[in-house]
Amino acid sequence: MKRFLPTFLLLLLPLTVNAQDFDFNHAFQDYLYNYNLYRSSHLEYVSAKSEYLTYKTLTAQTKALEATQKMLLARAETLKTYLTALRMKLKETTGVLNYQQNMYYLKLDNEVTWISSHETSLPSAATLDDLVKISQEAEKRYPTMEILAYQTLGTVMTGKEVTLRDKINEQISKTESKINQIKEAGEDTTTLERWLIQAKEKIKRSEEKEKEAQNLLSGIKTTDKNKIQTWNKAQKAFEEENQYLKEAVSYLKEILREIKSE
Amino acid sequence: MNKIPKILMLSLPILILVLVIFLFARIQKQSPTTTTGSEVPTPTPTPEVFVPSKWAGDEEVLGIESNILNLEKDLENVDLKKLQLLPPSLDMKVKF
Repeated sequence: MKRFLPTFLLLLLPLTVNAQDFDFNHAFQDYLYNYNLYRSSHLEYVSAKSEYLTYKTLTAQTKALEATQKMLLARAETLKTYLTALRMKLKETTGVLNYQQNMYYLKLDNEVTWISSHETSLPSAATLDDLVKISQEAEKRYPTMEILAYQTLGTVMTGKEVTLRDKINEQISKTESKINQIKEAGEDTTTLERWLIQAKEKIKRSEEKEKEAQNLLSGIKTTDKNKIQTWNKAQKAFEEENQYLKEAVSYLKEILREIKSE
Repeated sequence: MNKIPKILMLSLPILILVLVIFLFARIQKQSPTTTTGSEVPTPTPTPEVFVPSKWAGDEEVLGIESNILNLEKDLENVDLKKLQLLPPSLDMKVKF
């Protein structure tokens, strides 16, 4: 038994390495590959469907059944790899609160599990009606997945902005300490203090924009027809948040220039 | 005696005419001509004289400055357009 143990461990090694190599880029490539497969299978489905609806023959029906099954499987695989890519993006983003990250992991994993079970039911469909019924289940579920996707993307963006804001706040604190030191040395720091207040104000405005984006995203409902519009509004708020952070940094630069010059 | 004023009387209008033509030609030369944008002199900023304060070489100040420059780059590189990761366009309505 002891003789076989190292061999067994060696066999396990590539698996461990593969798991470590699986990052967002890998997941994203998987998704793009499956999305392309879906697109081509969808074209086949459209053509087979049209043929069947025109001729209504048994041969056309069988072809339509096969093409629909293939397309539905590709659609499910696209969704699964898409959600996995989102999960990896979330995993690689710093600044996301742990509880939030875990909550989204759980939600994304639930959807992936649901899709897997949906996939297993597809090959057992014997008729086109069976496939339509199975597809309708996915159709009902899809809005939930869409909302989850937008909210996960929002969390990724928030994480990025939070990381940057924390770093800027750190520099604001350091600059404030330096201004205090200059003040204690007997120099007039009124202008510097006023400018620092303005930099802090920009940070505050950026936080407000972040909340605005989050509120928009958490307000999306499954019944909303134009989820993308809400997403676009949220994205605009994120861009404005970023602009405020840039302005805060620009103010800090001016403060430092002032400190450095007589 | 009578001849001189006659000559003057004849040559005076010619002289005035020549003078008018000469003045007109000078005015034409001096009048502003339309210039292209590139010919308009542009204001050049006067170089700001930087007089360093006693804090200019302060290690902490230089440290903050370097961090801020890095932050500026990070902010520029934030990819806020995650269009590639937006939900795929899928046909969810399968009907026969």
